[in-house]
Amino acid sequence: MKEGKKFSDCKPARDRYTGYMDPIFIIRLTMGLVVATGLLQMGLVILLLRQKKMTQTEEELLESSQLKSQSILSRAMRQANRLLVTSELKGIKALSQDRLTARVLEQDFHKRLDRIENALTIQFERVAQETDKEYGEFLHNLETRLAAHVAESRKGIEAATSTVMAKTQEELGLYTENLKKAVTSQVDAEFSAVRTEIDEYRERRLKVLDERIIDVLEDVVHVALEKKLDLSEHSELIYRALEFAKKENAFGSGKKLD
Amino acid sequence: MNNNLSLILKHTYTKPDLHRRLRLVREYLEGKLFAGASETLAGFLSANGATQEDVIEMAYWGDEFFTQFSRENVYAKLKVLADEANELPILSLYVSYEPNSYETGQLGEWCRKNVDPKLLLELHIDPIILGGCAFVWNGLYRDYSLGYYLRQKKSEIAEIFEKYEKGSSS
Repeated sequence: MKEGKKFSDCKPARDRYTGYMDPIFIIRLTMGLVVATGLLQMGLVILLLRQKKMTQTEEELLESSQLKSQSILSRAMRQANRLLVTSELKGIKALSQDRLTARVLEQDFHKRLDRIENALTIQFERVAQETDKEYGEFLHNLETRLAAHVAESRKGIEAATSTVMAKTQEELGLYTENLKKAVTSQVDAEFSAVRTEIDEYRERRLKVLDERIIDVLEDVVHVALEKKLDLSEHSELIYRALEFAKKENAFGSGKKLD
Repeated sequence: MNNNLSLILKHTYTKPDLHRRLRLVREYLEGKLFAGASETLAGFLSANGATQEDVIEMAYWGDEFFTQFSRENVYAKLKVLADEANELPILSLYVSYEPNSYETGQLGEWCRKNVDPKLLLELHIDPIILGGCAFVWNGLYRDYSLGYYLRQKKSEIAEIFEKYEKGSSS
């Protein structure tokens, strides 16, 4: 709640509430009047003294003027005191009236403030209730919409998941089938290559074995001939070979023989 | 053919023997004609790594053979001998063992009688021959060795072994 001005800070509103003048202003006005009256009287005394100067002696004039001056000053002071008292009384009265008015105003202000507070409280409560109600409805609607949205999303996700799963399963099956074909083809190719390699290896081994057989046979024949044949028999084999060559005309004219 | 070469070839059948004997002749004659060597032929040959067959053969040639050389004609005659020796036909003979000098002589005789009367043998020892021989004549290689026939019959021999293996395993 916004805090209002203090009551004591408020200047009295002369025109609107009471119709009296400010006491300080009155005092100042009174003092001014007293001073002006005094000065006026002094001026008159001086004027009178000048007029009597021609007729009276100097001492008489001085004495007379002093008396008159004192009388004037005395009257002025009494009048000033009266004015001052009157002004103070009026000020006190105004002050009391101001205090009374302020109290009334304060009470009125408090009443108005209470009314406004009550009205605001009621309005606030009403608005709070309405807001609470609307918020509750909003939350309810939001929950409903969210539930519907969640249900819809769930259905969509389930449908999409089912579609993806089906597609994935189909692709997986296709991939598996292709992989199986590829593996089968590769295995067949490798099996064929291995079989070819084995056959080639077998052929090579057989060839090596054949060569080895001949080597072994040659070794056996060599050892056997060394043990069984003496030098003359070796020589005889040489002559037989030469004779055979001669029969084949291997020592002919130099023409190449098959 | 020069008579000197005919005499030398009478019992000289291999190319190494011929070149070694020609070298010995040249060295002996150089020593005798130019260095004033007084040693006998037998002494010279025994001191210069000649074989027993060289000694016998060169003794067989007789003094007439060596006296025909003089300081003036020795190199000319030796050059003629060397040139004619280089022209002789060569029969390269591959055998499975090293024949001795007698067998070498017998082979040389046979070859000069049946192939060419002026040929020289060049013997090579090759163990894969096994038995028999192979030779190069007039630039052609001919193989009549037992090893060659075994290799020629390799497949048949392998079949025989295979049949034997199958028969023994069953």
